Amino acid sequence: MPLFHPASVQARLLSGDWTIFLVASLGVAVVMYALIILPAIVWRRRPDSGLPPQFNKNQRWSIVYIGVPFLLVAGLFVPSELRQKQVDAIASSPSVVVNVTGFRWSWRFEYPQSGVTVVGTPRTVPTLVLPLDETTQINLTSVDVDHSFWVPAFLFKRDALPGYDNHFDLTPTRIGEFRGVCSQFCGIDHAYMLFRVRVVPVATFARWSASKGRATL
Amino acid sequence: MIQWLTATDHKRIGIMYMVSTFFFFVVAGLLALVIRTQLAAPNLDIVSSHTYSQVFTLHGTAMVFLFVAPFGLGLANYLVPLQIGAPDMAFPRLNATSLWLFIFGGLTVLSGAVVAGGAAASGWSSYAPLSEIRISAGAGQDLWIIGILMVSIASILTAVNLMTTVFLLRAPGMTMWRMPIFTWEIVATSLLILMAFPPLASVLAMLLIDRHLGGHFFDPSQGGNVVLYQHLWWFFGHPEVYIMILPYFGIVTEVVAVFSRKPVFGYVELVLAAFAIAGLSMGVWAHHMFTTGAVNDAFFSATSFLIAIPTGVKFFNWIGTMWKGSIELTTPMLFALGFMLNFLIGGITGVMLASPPIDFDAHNSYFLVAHFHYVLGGGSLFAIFAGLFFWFPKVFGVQLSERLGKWFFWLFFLGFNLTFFPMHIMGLEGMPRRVVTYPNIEHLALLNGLATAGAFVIALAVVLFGFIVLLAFRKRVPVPNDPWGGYTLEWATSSPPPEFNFHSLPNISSERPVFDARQAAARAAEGLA
Amino acid sequence: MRTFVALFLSSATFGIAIATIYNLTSHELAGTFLLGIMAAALVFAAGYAIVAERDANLDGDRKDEPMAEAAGEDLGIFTTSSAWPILMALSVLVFLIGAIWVPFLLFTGLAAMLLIVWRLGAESNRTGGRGSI
Repeated sequence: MPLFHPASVQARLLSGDWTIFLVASLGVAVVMYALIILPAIVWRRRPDSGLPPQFNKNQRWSIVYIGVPFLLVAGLFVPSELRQKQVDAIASSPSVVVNVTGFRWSWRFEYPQSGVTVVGTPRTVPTLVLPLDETTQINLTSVDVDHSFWVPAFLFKRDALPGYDNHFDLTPTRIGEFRGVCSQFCGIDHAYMLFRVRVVPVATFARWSASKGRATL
Repeated sequence: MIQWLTATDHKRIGIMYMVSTFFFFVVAGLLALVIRTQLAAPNLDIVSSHTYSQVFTLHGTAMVFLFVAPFGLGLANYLVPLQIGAPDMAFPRLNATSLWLFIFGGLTVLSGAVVAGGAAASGWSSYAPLSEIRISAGAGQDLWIIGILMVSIASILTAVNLMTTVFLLRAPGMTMWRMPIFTWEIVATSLLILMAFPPLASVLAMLLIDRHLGGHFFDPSQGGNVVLYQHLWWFFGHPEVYIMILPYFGIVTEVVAVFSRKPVFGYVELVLAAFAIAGLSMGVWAHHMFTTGAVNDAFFSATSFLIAIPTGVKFFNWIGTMWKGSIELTTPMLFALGFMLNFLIGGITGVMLASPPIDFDAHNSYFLVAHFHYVLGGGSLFAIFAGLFFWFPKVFGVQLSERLGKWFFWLFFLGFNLTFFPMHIMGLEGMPRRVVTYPNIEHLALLNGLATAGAFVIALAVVLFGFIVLLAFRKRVPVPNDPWGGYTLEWATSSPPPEFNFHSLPNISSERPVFDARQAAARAAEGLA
Repeated sequence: MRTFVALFLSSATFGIAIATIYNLTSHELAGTFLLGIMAAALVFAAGYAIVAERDANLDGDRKDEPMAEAAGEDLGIFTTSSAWPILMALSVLVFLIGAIWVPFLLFTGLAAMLLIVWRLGAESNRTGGRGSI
């Protein structure tokens, strides 16, 4: 599961956020499940029972169950916001720049620094080649409808919107080939609007760029 | 027959509303079975991609616009006048107009299936530019827009009617702070409808203008803006989901109190929480847009986290109601408990999704699909069945089998969780939503197989429910005024109620007038004995 | 009816607050406009609530137990059936279909809607003007 194998610097930060929330959620779920199920068992109606005590409020508990959730969400908001800012940050001088364009129904990857262009079709899935441990800035847009560029291994997606230029950084930390999908419904071949992300050592990437994308990886 | 077409009595209208929403529920459910069959295994080819797009579009549209939201309004139509001791709604003919606008609107949406090009196929949220004329040229999309416009007008008129009724037609002694919680939730729902539906009507009108009158609101090549569509849509769309839950919080509150033999715990908090939720829900909309990169993530994350607090307060109020009570696990009570357990999960994943870093991975994946099905299916739908088993005897004057009802609950609870829990994991394994198929990677084949099996268990359960209803009308076991030991005024009249609802009303001096009357009668009987 | 006023006053205050905070933190036109219009609508409703409250004297608001006194009170006439609602809904459908495909139907639908509103008024007058619509 990608959550346990984050493949980029940004993904590690995002995975940390997931961990915090999953732990908090588990704790809340266990407590609340107990509070919901317990009464149904402990105070199950017995045949001879009369009317139970008819209390209908408790100020002290009100303070607890309003205050504690507030502290909890406030406490979760801070790390969440910090990580969001870190993940959204754009390096001032990335090593590589790729212009990604979504279209019905595949992707175009253009490397302005080396002049390499990769265009895919639903049948020939395009590969986005990235250098390991270097920061690549992605400039993302669309030429027709809304699409979304999602790489589960990076725990990250951003929408490709016509009329918009979205920018984000990817700093991959693992060699390998990772799935990419379109995650904004865009019509008939939405499920086939796939791509691959191939992370290679810097030297291999340099060789590939120099050969205008013709060198085998 | 003509009587039903010209009826203005709120009880008749309420019944027609609820029955028609159930028709749309069955349609939407069958569409869900098509989805789950197509997704039972990787790379199946049971329906074409275009058909599949229409299927999931109509499934979502019908469930949201034609079932969950209007059922609450239909139930409100039936119950609110009874609960406040009124003879009818403030505007009976307007009420009927809403009903027929809803029915014709819903049928118009579905009629797209039989026109050239098929039904609308751009998702229930119908994002532009996908839904623009260049890309979705067929009449199906226009029929969808017209149908939803009619349903929107119906909802707005019903909201006006309900608010007026509650403010002006309460029986003597029925102060606002003695009203049943269900009625209060309906007031909050009505306020939300009034604030949220006009923007929907606007965005649909703008889409029509783009499609047919040469408009370019959402076409960037002509100066339009695609994110504008999302702002307008979700400014409506988020309150819509609270419109789809507040009435059901009300049902759960009523049921839990009666079957715990306790008064509602935290009555004032429940009311204030309803309005806190309603207010905040107008300020969270762009948490559906975190991945656009075009919104203030921090603002919307903060408001979305905040809205969890009044929701949590309601949970503690229900727990407090049950605490040290005398709990009877009737079918309505089982569904109310099921609601709480399921909605808790949906609420927790909702708070997770409110964190942009989490949303960057989970948005538009099956994790999101799991989240909203847990709150709408595990939540609202369970509450619908709780309400049905609770009020069916009152509405129709016949009893539903408790024994079969409990079987139905367990079958439904099992089927529901089997279908939707695996979807959390599917999302985490990288499966996006609205896809006609998926590759055989990770555990997607197994998880989807489980989900499909669960869907058919749900279908079986719903068939059982149909059988339970038919059996009830077959056996016709009569129902007294108050079969459950209820608290609120609907239990003070016959089952079903007479025309104009009440021959006489008990004194109202608390939020439990029928309970008070019962206690007074018991004390009087003891005094005589 | 003080609750009625309190509800709309607090909603209006909340609306103004959130529209302001959103504008200051986000500088985003669509959301500011939507929240602003919402706030304006709520202020309008609150204004009406304050004015209406002055004349309100509802039995429903009485905390004592006036049921016996109020018994037999005339609440007005409530219609029991009317053909106009279903015909109105049909007219709206015709109007919308006409708006997109058949301009003739647009005018037919509109004419029908106006006609029905006129007949609805007549129906109300038959109840002596004391009925609800």
